[in-house]
Amino acid sequence: MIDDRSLGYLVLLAGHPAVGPRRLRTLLDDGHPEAAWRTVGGRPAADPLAVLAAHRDAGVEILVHHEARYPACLDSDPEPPALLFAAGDPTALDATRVAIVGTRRCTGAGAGFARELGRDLSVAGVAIVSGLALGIDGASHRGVLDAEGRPVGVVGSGLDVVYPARHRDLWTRVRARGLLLSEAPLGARPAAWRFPARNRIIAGLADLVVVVESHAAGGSLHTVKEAADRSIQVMAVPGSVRVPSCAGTNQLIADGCAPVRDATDVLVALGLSAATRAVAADRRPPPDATAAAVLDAFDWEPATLEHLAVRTGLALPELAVALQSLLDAGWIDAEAGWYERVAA
Amino acid sequence: MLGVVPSATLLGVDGHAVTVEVHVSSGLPSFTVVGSPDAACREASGRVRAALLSSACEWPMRRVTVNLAPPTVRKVGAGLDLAIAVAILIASEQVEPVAVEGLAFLGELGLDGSLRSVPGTLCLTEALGDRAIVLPAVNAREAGLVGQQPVHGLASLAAVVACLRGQEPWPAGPPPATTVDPPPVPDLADVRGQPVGRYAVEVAAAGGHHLLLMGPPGAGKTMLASRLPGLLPPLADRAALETTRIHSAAGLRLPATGLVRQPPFRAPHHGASSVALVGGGSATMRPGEISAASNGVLFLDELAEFATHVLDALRQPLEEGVVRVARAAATVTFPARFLLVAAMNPCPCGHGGRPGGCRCSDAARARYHRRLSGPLLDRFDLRVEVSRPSVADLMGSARNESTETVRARVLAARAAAAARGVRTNAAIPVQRLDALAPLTAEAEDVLAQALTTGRLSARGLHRVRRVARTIADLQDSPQALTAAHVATALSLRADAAPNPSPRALTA
Repeated sequence: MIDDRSLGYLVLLAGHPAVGPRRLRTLLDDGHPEAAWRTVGGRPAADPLAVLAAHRDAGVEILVHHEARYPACLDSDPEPPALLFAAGDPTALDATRVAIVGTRRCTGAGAGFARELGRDLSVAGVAIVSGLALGIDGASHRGVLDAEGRPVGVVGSGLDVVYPARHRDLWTRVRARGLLLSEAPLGARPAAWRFPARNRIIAGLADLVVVVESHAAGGSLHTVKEAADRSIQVMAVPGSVRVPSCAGTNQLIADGCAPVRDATDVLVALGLSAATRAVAADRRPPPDATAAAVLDAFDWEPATLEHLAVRTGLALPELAVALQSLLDAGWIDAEAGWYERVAA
Repeated sequence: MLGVVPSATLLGVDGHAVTVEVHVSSGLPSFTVVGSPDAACREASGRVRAALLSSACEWPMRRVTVNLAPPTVRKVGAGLDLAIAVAILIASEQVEPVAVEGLAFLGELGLDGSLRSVPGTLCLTEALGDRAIVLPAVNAREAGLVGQQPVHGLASLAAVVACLRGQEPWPAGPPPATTVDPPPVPDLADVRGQPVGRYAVEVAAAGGHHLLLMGPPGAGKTMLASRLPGLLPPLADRAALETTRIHSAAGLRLPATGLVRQPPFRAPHHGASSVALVGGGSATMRPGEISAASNGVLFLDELAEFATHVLDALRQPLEEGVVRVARAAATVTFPARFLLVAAMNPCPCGHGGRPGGCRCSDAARARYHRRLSGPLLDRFDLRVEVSRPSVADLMGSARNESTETVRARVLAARAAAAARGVRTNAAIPVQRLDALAPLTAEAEDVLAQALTTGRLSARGLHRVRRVARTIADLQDSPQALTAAHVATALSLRADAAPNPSPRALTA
C-alpha cells in the first residue's frame, strides 16, 4: 500500500508536462516520487497532501495500479495507467463493456446510428465505453442515457476541465449515471498527446470495440490499433462509399472486421442473447405523399437542396414546402445548406 | 505680364474649378508653382517647358510664377498642364489675352507637345460651367456627355496655339456617339444543371437581395455570379450618369457609347486593401471598387480570404448606399449602392459543408470562420449551397433558360416593386412589410414553426418576408404570400451559414 505522501507526489507528477504514462508507471513501481518531483523541476512548495485532499473534496477517487478497486480488466494491460482518476460509480465496469468510437465530424445518419446502438446495447445490459468527444462518441452516450444504461466516459483532460465545453451537460449526466475516468489529475489541460493515450485506455477497458464512422486516417483508427494489440475484437459499421467519414470504417470491413448492422450483431459477437427491445412506434407525424417522396430521395446520405430538386424532379416551391414540413416533424435536419435524414 | 486661364481639378468624384495664374517678370530665370500642388502637378515645369519648345513656342527666360487658386483645394495630377502652358503663352505675350475669353483648358502635356487624356473629364467638365472647353481629343466625347457647353478636342499643344492665334478654326463638337452593339453578356443558359443556384441568381437580380454562394471548389460559384449583371435592367439616365462619373474619376475605360448603360460588374481580388475597396488614397481620394460597382454588382470571390477589417468596412456602405471617406485633407462621399454577391468555400479544405466531409482541424476551421463577422453574414438575404453539377448535366445538350427569358421575369418583378414605391424589394422598410408583403394563414404557420424550432431568428424573419415577396413577384402573384413562397425563401437561406464548428448533437 502506497503512503499518502508518495501518492500525492505521483498525482503531482501525473499533471506535470514532462511525465508521460510510461514514466509515471516506472516511478510507481520502483521510484521515489518525491525525488522524481525535484528532478523534473516541479515546484518545491507543492504540497502532496493538499493535492490529495483537493481530489477527495471534489469527489474524485484515485485508483492505483495493483491496489484494490483498480479496474480488473486493466490489471493485465500491456500499458496500464499507473493512476486512474475516477468520478462516479466504479461498478459500472462490472458488466460486459463495449466501446463505441468514431469521428467527431460525422454525418447525421452516423450520429443517429451511434445513439441507437448505445441505447439498444444498454437495454441488453452492456456498459458503453466512449470518449465523450463531439460526434459519434457523444451520440453513443446520449443513447445510453436515453435507455438509462451505464455509461463509462474516458476523457483526456482533468475531470474538472470539461472538453469539449459544449458537452458539459453530458459530463454531468455520465458522472451521475455511470463512471468518468481520466489518467490526468484535476486541472490538467486537454493536451494533444493525451487523446491517443486516452484511446488505449478505452481499448483496454472494452471487451469489444465498435467503430461507427471514421475518416480514412482518423483518430478512431488509433483506438482500433490499440484494441488489435490487446487482441480485442473490433467491429465496424458499414457506410456509403460516397461519404468521406465512412472511408475508414469501410476499409476496416474490407480488411476483415465484422460489420455491425444493429445491436444484435454486437450481442452475438459477445455471446450474449439478443436484446428484446420493444420497438417503440415512431411518434413523428407521418409525411404526406410529396414529403414521403422527398424523404425517399435522401438514401440516408447528406443532400443539398439542389440534389433533392434534381432527384425528385419537384419544382422548388413544392420541394421547399415538403422540406419545411419534414423539418418541423423532425424527419430531417438542416445545417449550412445540407439536409440529412434523422432516424427515429 | 500676367496670364489667367480657368481649369479644374478632381477631388473624389467632384470637379473643382481652378484658376491658373501665371506671372512673368524680370529677374533670374526660374519656375515656381504655388497653391497646393501635389508632386505630379509641381513637376509640370519640365513637361510644359519641353512641350512649348516642341510646339515652336518660346520659353520665357525670365522669372515665372504659377499660382493655382484657390489654394485651399489640393491640385492633383497633370491635368493642369495645358492651362499652365496657355497661361505662360499669354503672360509672355505669345498669345493675345482676348483669345482665351470664354474658354477653359484641361489636359496633360507630353514632352513632344501632344495632349494626353485626364481622368475624370466628365466630373471636371461639370465644374467648369458654360465655358467652352479645350481638351485632348480622346476626352472630347466624354466631356460632351455633360452637354451644357461647346467642347473642342485637339491632339496637340501646337494645334491649340494655332486656334488661339486664329490661324485655324476651333474644331466642331465631339464626334457623335457611335451606336455599336453592347458587348455580349455571359448567358445564363451556359450554366448547366444547378437549378437552385440559377434560381437564387434570378431572385437576387429581381429583388436586389445580397447573395452568398457556398460550395466546394469547382462548383461553378464564379460562373453563376458573372451571369447576374446580364439579368439586371440597363441603367436609367440618372444612374448611368452617376456610374459614368465614378468610372471617369476612377480612370476606368468608358464604353464607346458614352454613358455606362450596362450595370457594372466588379470583382476585386481577395488581396484588396480597404482603401482599394471603399476608396480614398492620400490626395486623390479615388473612388474604390464598391463605388465602381455602384448600380451594379460587386462580386467578392473567396470571401473568407479577405482581411477582416476590409470586410467590416463594407457594412456601413451596405446599410447607407454611400461611403464617406474622411482624410485630414478632405471628406468626400462616394455613391456605393451595389448588389453584393459573395462566394466562399465552407472551410479551408473546401468540403466542410457536407456533413462528414471535412478534414480540417478544428483550429483551422475556427480561424477561417473568425474572419467573417456575424453582422456581415447577416446582410445576405440569400445563402445557397452550390454543389458540383453532375457529368450528365455538363455533357447533356439540354440548355437551360437563357438570360433573355429570365430577364423578362426580373424586369416585371422590378416593375412590381417600383409600383409599390420601393427601389427593390430588399429595401422594403420593416414598418411597411405588413402592407406590402402580407401573409396568408398557411404562410404564417410555416414562419411560426421555423421561429419556434429556432431555424429562423427574429431579424431573419423580415429578410425572409422580403425574399418571399420577390419570389411571389417573379411568379406574377401580387396577392398575399403563400406557404410555398415563404418556404422557398426559407430554403434559399441556409441556416447559420456556414457552420462554425463540428456538428453538435443536442440532447
